Amino acid sequence: MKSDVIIIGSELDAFVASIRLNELGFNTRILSNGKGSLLYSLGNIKILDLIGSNIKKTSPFSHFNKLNLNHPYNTIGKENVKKSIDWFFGLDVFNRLKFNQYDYNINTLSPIGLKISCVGLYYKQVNYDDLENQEISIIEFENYKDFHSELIAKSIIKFAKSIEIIKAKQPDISKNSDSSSLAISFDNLENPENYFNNLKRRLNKNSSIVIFPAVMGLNKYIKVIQTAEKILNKRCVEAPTLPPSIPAIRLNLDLEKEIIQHNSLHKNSIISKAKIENQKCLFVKDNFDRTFSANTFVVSNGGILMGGIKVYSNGDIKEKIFNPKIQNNSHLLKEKTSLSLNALQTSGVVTNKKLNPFLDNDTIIKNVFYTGRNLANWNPSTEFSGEGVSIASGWYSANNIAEYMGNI
Amino acid sequence: MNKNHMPRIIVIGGGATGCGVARDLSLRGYRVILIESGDLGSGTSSRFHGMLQSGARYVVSDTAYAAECYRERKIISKIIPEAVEEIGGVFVSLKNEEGNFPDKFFSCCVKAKIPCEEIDSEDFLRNEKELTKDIERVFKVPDAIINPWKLVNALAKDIKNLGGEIFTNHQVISINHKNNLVNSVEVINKNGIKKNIHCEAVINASGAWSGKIANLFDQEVSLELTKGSIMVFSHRIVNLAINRCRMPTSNDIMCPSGTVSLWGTTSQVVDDPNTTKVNPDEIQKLLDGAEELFPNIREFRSFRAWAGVRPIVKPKNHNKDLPLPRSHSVIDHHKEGFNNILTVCGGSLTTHRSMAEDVVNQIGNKLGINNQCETSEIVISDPRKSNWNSTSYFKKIEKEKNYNDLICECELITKKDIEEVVENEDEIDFHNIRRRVRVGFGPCQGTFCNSRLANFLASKKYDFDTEESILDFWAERLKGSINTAYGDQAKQVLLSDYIFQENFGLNLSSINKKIMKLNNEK
Repeated sequence: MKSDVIIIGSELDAFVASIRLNELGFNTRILSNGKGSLLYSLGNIKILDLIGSNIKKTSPFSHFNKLNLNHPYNTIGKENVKKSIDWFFGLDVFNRLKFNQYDYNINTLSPIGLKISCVGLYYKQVNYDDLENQEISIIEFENYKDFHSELIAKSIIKFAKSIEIIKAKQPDISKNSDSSSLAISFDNLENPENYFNNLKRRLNKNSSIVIFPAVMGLNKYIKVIQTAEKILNKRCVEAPTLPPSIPAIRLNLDLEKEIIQHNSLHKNSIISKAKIENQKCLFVKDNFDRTFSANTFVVSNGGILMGGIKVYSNGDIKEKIFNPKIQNNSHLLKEKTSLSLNALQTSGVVTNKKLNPFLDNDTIIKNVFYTGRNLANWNPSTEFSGEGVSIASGWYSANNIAEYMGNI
Repeated sequence: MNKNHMPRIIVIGGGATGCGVARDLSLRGYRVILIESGDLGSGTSSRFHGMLQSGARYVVSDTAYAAECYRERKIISKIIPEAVEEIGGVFVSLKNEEGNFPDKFFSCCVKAKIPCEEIDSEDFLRNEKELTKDIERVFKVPDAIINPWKLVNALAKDIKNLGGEIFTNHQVISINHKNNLVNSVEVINKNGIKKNIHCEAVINASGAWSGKIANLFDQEVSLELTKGSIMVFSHRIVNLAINRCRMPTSNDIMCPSGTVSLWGTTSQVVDDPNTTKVNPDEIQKLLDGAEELFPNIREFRSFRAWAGVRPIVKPKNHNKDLPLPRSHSVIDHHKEGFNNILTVCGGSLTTHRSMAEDVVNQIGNKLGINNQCETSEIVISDPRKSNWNSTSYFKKIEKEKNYNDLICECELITKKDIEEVVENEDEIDFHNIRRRVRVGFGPCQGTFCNSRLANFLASKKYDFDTEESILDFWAERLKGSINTAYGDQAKQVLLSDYIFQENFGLNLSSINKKIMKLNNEK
């Protein structure tokens, strides 16, 4: 089995690398276990927002000079990061998802009603700043426990004109009340007009915005929301739920759809071994002992969070496929909990400027590139930079592969 | 009996001992006020391996104390069955161990009248798959496990029913006396409001904090404080409480409890009873010790480690070469000039009731009241509640099929369970709720139930600060789970961080302060 590029993992960085490589004329084979950390996100794209920083944010890039020199953004370079984000929001996928024109200073609601910043909102995602002085109806579904309507109400009552919480029946009461079942039952709703007409009678006539939990359909949500707006004659928006969140699943599905047009995608392959000779990887093997060879390899399997990198009980940290050099910040030895958490987040694979991993003898593997949460020296949680580093490193690794392939 | 004529006694300390003392006093007709600086049972009482000792552990080193443990263990099981799970325990010796400790152990059990039976090790290992095959001899003993929260809460409920008063979150700041008699105790609550409470006598039952309380009236209690750390492993990896058959030391107990197993402990002398930080080297020592019994233990998921501080009384003129006795002492401060204050200390959770009986007898002697102790006879438990059984929860949820009402999916805590708790609380505190119903105690350590709990309480119109409360809950869970952030737990810790910071937008910089406060760091 041979392809130009093998991508290991199903993180956002894997998808980005694959799409970018197609543009540059390569086809890819994605080998993954089908689980990416995107599914735990809210479907937002966060580039950088140093929490607690005093710098007034005019764009995510105004925080760049606060980052340490080994941060992946500094490895990739500010100009490249900007280019990759511009490129990402120009993708067809986002036209289909109807992402708004991306904007650096958008705020949305978090699942517990706090204001969080992101870059771009997906179609009908709640915009925090639009809620001021409005009469708001929040819809919650009976027995659905992952939407925190009360916490959201408690938070926005401080600046909204009025709030009501309406308990509604889910479309198909024979189904479970989890996010996925609800989204699917909205997709399958035979007569959405009827459903929203029933709801209309119960809403405050004066309310101008209706907030639904972000479960209003998976493939057909745009149609469902549009129907709701037509019938209710009010602005309808979605607010996030506890993960796994449906907007993230929609984004994931759309990226996958894009990818399978030009590439092959395996969802049950766990790569465990690699053959390396003369600083080059020849092939990798999966858990079924199948061999996959390619000219180049991208490793996008999510770092410690998703098990791409393993932490052992004695404090060792290893990436088992290529066994590269690891920046181990010894989180188990830190005295203070917060330092320990930061050390765990910032441990990862050490690479050169091209994202090639170093081995313990300080040589590199020339045709292997690491991306996203596998990389050391960044903290997606405190930097609010999870998707940004994934996009930038996925895009950048694709460019580096094109350069490498041109040189051999 | 007219209570109004009975002396009013202040009990300091709301752990198992203090609650036991207050219940005993209440049953004998005294007017009682219990003062606890934090939440009931939040000190040493909840920071141990959860075992209700058969006494066998101490049978060689301190046979009299072992016999007391067995006697008390039977009484607790009878009077508060809802807090006790009768699982049984074993003492195991390994093939390479020298000496004749197992024989000595068996003969001492006979002497102390602790039922002990040697069983076939091969038969035994067929049911305990994770244990090493190097086990040579196995002795079955009647160990049980106890849920310390259920114990103190049952005691507290009974104290209130009997007319006693309980002040939690009240710290003692001074003990006032006149003519060799303590006449009042001044306390301060967490909002800084002070109160002076009059009394006719005081019982200091504050365990590891006894010395600090004694200092308030210029006295010293000679204690050795030792910190013991415990690791919690996911699942019940054993069916029975497993003890090493050797002189009691570190690393010798694996105890299944609820949906988890607890391994411990370490022993390190400390100065401050608030030292509850687990050091990294302790984790490695615990794992090394556990590996001797469970060869694959490093592959198991451990989702937390915590520490508690044991107060062991140092008798005067104690021979340094001998281990300190585990039995309790009642210290009469009469010689130092105080005629109506006693300190009860040492012992263990298993013997808390007899400690209470002892100290209340002595306070009675001082006050000239000789009402008999009834705590070993009067059953506390609500007759509708059966024995504590970790699996009864699963059965209940499966029978009622109320999955949608689950707030905590790890520990199967429903909205109704939460409601029952908050109805009896004076103010909403996520920590109290967590301790009462074990919400957030499971493998996810509150990642998913934290905000669900907040949302449910908000729907019931309870007032609290969302951000503060969720952060508080997370800080408390994180402080224990970061200690064992390896294997799957490393992923779990990062997932929690992902959800609380990246998704919820909570700010880590204030969590620092919260964790420092929880760890009593400066």
